[in-house]
Amino acid sequence: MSRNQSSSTDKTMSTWQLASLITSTLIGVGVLTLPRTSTERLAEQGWMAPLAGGGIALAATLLIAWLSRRYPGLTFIQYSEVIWGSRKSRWLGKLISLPWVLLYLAHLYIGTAITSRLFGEVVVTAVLRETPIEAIIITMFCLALFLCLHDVEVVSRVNELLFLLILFPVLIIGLLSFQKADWNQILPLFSASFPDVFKGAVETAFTYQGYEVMLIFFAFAQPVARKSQAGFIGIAVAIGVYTLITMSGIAVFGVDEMQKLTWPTLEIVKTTQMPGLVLERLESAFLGVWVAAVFTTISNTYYAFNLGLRQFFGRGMVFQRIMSLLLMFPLFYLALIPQNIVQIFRVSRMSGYIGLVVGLGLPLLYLAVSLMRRQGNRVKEKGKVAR
Amino acid sequence: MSRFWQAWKRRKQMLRDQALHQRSKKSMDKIPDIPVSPELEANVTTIQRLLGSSDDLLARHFVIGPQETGKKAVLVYFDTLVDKKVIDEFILEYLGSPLDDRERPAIHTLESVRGMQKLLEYLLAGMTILLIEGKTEAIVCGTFHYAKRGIEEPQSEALVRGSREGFNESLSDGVSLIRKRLKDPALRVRLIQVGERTRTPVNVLFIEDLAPEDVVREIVNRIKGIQIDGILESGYIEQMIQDSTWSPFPQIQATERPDKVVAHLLEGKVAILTEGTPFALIAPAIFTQFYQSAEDYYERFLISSMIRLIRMMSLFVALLLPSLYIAFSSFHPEMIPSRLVIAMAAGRSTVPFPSVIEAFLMEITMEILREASIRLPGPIGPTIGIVGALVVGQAAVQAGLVSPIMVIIVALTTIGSFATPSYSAAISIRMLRFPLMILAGAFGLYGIMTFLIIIFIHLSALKSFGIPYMTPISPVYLKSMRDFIFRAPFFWMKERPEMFNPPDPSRQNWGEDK
Amino acid sequence: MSKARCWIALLLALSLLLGGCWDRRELEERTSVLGMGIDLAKGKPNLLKVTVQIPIPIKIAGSGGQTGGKGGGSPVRVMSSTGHTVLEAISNLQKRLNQKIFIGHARVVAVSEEVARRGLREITDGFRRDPEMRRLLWPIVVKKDAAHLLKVKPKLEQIPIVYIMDMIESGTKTGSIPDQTLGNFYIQDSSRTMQPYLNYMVTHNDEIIWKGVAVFREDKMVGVLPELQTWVLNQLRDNKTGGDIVIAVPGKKGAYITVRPHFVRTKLKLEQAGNQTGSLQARYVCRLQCDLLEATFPLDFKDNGIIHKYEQIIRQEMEKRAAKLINMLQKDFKSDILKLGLAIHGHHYRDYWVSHNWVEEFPRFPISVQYDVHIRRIGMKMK
Repeated sequence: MSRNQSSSTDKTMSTWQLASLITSTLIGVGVLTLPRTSTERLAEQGWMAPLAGGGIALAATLLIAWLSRRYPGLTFIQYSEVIWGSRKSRWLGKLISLPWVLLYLAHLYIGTAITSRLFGEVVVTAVLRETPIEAIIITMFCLALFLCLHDVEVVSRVNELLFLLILFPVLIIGLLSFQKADWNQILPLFSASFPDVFKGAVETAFTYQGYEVMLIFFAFAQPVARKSQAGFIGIAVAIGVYTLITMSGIAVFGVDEMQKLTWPTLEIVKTTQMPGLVLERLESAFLGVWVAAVFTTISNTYYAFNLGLRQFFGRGMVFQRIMSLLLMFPLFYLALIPQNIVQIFRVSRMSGYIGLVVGLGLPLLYLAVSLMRRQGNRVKEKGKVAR
Repeated sequence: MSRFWQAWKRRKQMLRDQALHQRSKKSMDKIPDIPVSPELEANVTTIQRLLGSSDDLLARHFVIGPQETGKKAVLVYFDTLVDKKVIDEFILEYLGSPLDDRERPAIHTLESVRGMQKLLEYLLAGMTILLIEGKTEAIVCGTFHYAKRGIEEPQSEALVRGSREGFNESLSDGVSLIRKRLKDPALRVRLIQVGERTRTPVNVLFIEDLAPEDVVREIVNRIKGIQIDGILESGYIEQMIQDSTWSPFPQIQATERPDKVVAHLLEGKVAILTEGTPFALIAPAIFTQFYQSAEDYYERFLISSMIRLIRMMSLFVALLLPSLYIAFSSFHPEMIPSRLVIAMAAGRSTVPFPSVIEAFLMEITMEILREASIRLPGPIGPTIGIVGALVVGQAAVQAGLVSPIMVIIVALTTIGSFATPSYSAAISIRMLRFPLMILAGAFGLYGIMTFLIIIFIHLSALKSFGIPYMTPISPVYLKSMRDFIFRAPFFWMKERPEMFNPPDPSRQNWGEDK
Repeated sequence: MSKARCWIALLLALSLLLGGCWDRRELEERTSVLGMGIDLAKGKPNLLKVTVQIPIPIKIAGSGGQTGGKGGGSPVRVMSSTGHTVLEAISNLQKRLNQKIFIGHARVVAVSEEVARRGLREITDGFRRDPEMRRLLWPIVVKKDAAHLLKVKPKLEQIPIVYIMDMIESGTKTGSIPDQTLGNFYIQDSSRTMQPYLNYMVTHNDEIIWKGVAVFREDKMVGVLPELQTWVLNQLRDNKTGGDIVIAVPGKKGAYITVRPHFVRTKLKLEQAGNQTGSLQARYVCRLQCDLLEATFPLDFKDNGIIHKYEQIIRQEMEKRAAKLINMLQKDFKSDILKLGLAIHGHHYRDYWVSHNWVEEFPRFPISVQYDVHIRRIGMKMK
């Protein structure tokens, strides 16, 4: 009873913590480009892309929650072998689940690299122009590493603490920018066809990337926490923020101007004046505060990766600490592979598509197998078997 | 609970290892527990041998009852620790004179001991030992008399409205100040002696049906686990029992105010009073309580809510202002309004240092001034403040060493850090300012935010006796937020803070009156 | 105590990074450019001349420096340099300066009419890519020499650019000068549905005079809209009040009446023109609430119809001005700076926009303007 017991009494997350974990993992560097990517195909209707994309993310999160409810207290790594294996030969389950688990872990690892590189890129382009991008990436990694040294409960509390700090700047900027909005810019309301909306939604996948960490973190939910509700709140807040930013981007700039901007959200901040504030151009401040949002994305993903890795090898906290330090070095070089900003955007879009496969495809597959094999809550007692 | 218990076990193991080395030095263990012998002189020589030849150790021989028939007896005491009047007037006069119908003298603590170890312990605590020829037990008379200060107004926590009484260095006075305010039958006082050589009495106070049992047990265990030669101040105990030594934040609150202690006892916390210091400890402590003052509850709620808001603002000013100045002036000048930027550039044009160094220079000067004015005797202290702030600041600006805005910023940060009610929390903020300034000098706002995130992670990981340090914010306790920045009126705060998990949560309307 | 080691390692890692301080550049180590002027170099038509205005901090009074205000001389330095592109000219300028040029505080970019007529896209591209450049600065088209705008000494303000900046800012607040920032110019330039315009100024010795707006087609300037028409434009396009309306009362010699609009609400109605489907017409209905400021002849308000009478006079005058505006835009400039295209794009996307080329359609698009004038107050004098 040792591990799971302790994880249900001590290292637990409330519904609210789970929700803020989801939101803050989702909201990150993607917001800075979202207005452009979502209007690329849909033009004036671009604000629908985050809505529809959020629908996909919501469905995936609910699937993950459902999966997690069937195997309470177990992470994706742990129930993989239960799902694929039999009671007698667990190594078989481990073997069959190996490709999925590796795909998942690799996706998290690469996602961390891309996010940190993207953020490094925007900081170096917009604010700290002389600073080498390596310095920015390394500091972000150091923050993620520092979090990885702590227990899971600390992750949930950090996210809870930073939640409002992440939400406030976007909301304020989004609402203030409406002063300069021309609402004719978002008309006509329905110009794009349904397949286009769907394609546009898929293209926002990178922005919604991050809910897949819940495959790990839902395992640490309190027994009374409602996972589906947390997933719903978490994704809904992100949808709200994304739609608001896209809408204000379209209303302020119009579609044509938006396509010309590399970081449209930063330009929105640039054109927005805060009434009564002495300070003038808030984009540096916005990027400064945005470090928190990107930090939560990077470190939650990296934490989920390390936790998964440690469970995969069946080790404890010390293993996680050492591995999170060691794996930072390849991660650093991985982040530096793309040669230019256009390539990074392409890679991040690709990663978004893979994220869809991982975040939506894996839970679907697992649920199907789990339902077919009539596994379910009865695994609860066996939970201790799968460390 | 299990996590801090594990951490604590590790720690205790370490302490135990250290103690093994010290075991040979432990003074009380060296004393053999010889029984009190019927031979009077033998006892006196044993005591004198064990205690060495201290000149203030007196043994007065006399005879109980009539001079011829009475029993020989001896009084042993430390001349410096006892109330001589009591000994002269009551014991000697009463015991030395023939038995008659005189009243027994009023001496507290009349106890008898048989072992020499216990006897010496009492002797060292200021008791007088009465040894009687032919008896194998000694009588202990409570004659101790220490010099002590009266009850005065607390120096470090002055209030406009509220009790003017503060603790003094006497433990029993401290407990009496609390008992005076809290006549709850459930108030418990546990005595623990800490310090191998000082043998300082420490009292742990809690209200039985409010303080969670495991927290009390944990605190008592941790105090019992302390193995050190001496406890001179409650700070020793604080540092030996706190959860994280490496944190800049205080995890146990120290206070001089009995009313504050009572308020926290009523919230289900535990107070630790130590002999020899006016500072009582309150545990577990969370971040926000260091920014709350007792007066917040004595004033009407709107006023105290506003004051708390101002305190939070001053916290941010004290923490961030110098680093923001560095970030804005040397990294993001586009954020400063154009007119101001020209004025600032003019002010800085003669300054030979980059703004990081300028800020460091001024902040360190200010810290030195502050430290100096604390050390100086009362009337001179403020003078140094004025000399430092006005003369040095003005001269530095005129000499072109610092810009005028820097002087304003230093003044604001200093004032801001004074607005924190708790001295130890203010120090931690003052300390964190410096790494922030370094990072602001390296990365501007990005650096500031990086360090803030490190602080946030650390605060999230920090716990005080099982209670997460940032409690009402993370994990969120919506009801406790009523007493966070906003101090709600009392009819909204009918329950004790839920994060401390008090067995009896209701603080108003109990019984069936409504 | 692994935690302690981690702390120390982290602090060490951070402090190693401190060796850099790559971006640290103190205030006094930057040459803040407050204003920029772009002209064609004289005699060399393919070269641009960029003029910048740099404040000299210690010469500015009240700036805290000990030498503040003393020493005489101009508080700003104006320098020029040439190059094939704006950025080349700026980097040529850098060769003559001790500190790095910082354009994050540029508040005014003046462009000469010649340059504006050649097209602004090649100039703004560098500005768009530079994160230092503000989007909220004021681009201005200057009639002759943009460099002269920076050399003018208005005397009321120590720094001439601040003077210009304040002039435009107070103008936009009262609604007389359109709020055309660089960001707005970008948006209008990029958009398929509208055309850009910029404020137009004329310098005259030590004076700077606002003279309406320069109208662009695509990024090329095509003409100047005078002040009166600009105010109508403000009313129709942005619901801004524009300046005071001074009208010679017909039939009375030397009789003038002045009103100040204090509230404007314009409704754009897009209706089907005639009977054929797929054709549209635009009707602007502008409701104007005014205060009477001045009348050079006796007015007796006991006469019930008198307010109504003057309202009609003003209405006719405003409609005349508006007709001239529409005529100029459609016939002379062929440029839709009214944002009419945006409204059509938004509201008649399927039935009109898709099937028409708006840039070609605009000059012959039927537009009518209708005013609805109310005089609400007459000031402190009754009779």
